[in-house]
Amino acid sequence: MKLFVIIVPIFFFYIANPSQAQSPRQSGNAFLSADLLQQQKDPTLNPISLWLDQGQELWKAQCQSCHSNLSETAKAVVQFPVWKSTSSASGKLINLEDQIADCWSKKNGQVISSDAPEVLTMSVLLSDTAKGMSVQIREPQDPIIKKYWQEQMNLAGQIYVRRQGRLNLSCTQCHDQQIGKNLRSDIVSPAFLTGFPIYRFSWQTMGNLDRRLRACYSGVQASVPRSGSPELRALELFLKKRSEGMFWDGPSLRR
Amino acid sequence: MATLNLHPIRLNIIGAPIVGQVVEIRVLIAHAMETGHRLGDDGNERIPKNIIDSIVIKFNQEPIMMATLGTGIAANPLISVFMEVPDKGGMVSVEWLDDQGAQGRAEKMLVVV
Repeated sequence: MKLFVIIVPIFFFYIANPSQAQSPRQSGNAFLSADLLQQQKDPTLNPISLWLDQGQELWKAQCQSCHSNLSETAKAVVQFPVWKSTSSASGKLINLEDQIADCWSKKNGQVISSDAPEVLTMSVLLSDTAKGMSVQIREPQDPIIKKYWQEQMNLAGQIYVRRQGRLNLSCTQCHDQQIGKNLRSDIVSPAFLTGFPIYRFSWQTMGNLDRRLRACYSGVQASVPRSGSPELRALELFLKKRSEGMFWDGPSLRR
Repeated sequence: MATLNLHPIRLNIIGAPIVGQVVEIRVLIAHAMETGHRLGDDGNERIPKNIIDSIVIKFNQEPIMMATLGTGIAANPLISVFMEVPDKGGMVSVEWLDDQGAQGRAEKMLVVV
């Protein structure tokens, strides 16, 4: 009986302090050098501000007539990817860029891909407006859709731990087990999705998450999925679910 | 960059505009700065060279900095010059021209306190 009295308070202590059970999650920005952080904070130095200027123009010309409030619209940034039902099949996962491209195509009567520069520019503006919101991925309510959604989540979980490519590496081997160590001249950061699209200095331009993930596939010398493939959408969902509750950083600089 | 405005530009004056003090003039231009050495997606044809050839920063229409950039300058160049604040304020302007004839300009008033 004495033992029981001792164990019960310890048990409740752990329940009440979940932060002790798991390590604190860090955004990718925590691994930037002081110089890069300084450049990211200062809009007169940060090249992303050029995309923001352009995004404002595009917003006024294309989007404002329907979506009147920019900060309301930007809430989508922390909620996507979502399941979209289609009439023919069971539906598919779409991310924010797919949604922007779809919206653009409907409005202008001309189909553009989710990799188009206009889509990227709008995505940058929305992502910047969503700064400080917390990531909220909601499970679908409909049980049938939830089943499909969960299948995608499981698929991505398997991809995340599956060894692949000529280097025979899985995502988790670097992005969970080698965090903070050097990979060539860069520092490995944990796989949390809080600051996309990114301006990457080695690309010399902005890129979306698809481009970043495809670069990862190519980095381990695996066959690279095409942009917008279901595999990448599932991974995006998985990574965003991992980052649930973290603050959105907005478009970020990377080396 | 997208269709509306291919080359957004930001011109900023950093520092206190007090006579005799030094301010920094920062110019950030959206430009791909194609070197002419890269291959296109098909892996055969080179992407034609297109860099910002010349850039001039003027104060009250008087050139204070002229530069010819080379292919070693990265995309979306950031150019900064330092200038002593003159007795009276004036208009700081910047103009650039690239290999394929595109050009851009921006201007900002320097008000002396």
